[in-house]
Amino acid sequence: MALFTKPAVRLHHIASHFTNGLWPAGVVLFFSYLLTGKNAYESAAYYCFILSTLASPFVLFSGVFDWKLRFKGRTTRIFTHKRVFGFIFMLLSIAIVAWRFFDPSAPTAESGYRMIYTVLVLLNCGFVIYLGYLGGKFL
Amino acid sequence: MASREVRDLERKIEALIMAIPREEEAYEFYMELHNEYEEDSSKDMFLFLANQERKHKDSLEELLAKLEMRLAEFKQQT
Repeated sequence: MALFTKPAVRLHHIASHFTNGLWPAGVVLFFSYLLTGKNAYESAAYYCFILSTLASPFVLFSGVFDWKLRFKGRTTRIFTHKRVFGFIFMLLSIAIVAWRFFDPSAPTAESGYRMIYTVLVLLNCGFVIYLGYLGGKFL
Repeated sequence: MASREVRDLERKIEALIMAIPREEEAYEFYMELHNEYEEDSSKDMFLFLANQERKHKDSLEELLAKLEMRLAEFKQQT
């Protein structure tokens, strides 16, 4: 394997654990906040979402690099799904984090958008779980 | 029926595409060990295993080429 191939592949494996681990952990913390009303849980969830979002471009681009190098850029259903859902996950993560940044009240009971925020967070969790499931097929 | 056969062929092709890099990685893994050892019997063992993986990879690539050709023919017919 070429000198740069291995680090790129490793980067994909490492970075994907951040997105796959942190977003669902953030969801658990967010639901802890919904159940208990303790703000600390919501803040912790938000930081998990930020870290997961920061890792997502590394996951996506190292994944494309890995696909081009190791799999010669061959198109199959699994790679198409990984690219499409990976891109959607990254965009939705950025949108959720940006929303929470500009409107910190979005997840609170006082906000009229709490339900939408919760649905988006859960939807994104579904995407990252599906991406993890697809990634697991390569092990 | 035709779409089912296309789907079936595509699934097989996908499986081979995913399997080939595994064989490459196994080959590199054994070659690294072959280069690490100085003792002849260990070197020979890892070289033997590396060659096995290379043969697997060659077989998979051959199968992949055949399936891709069959898929292209099938798509042309339908």
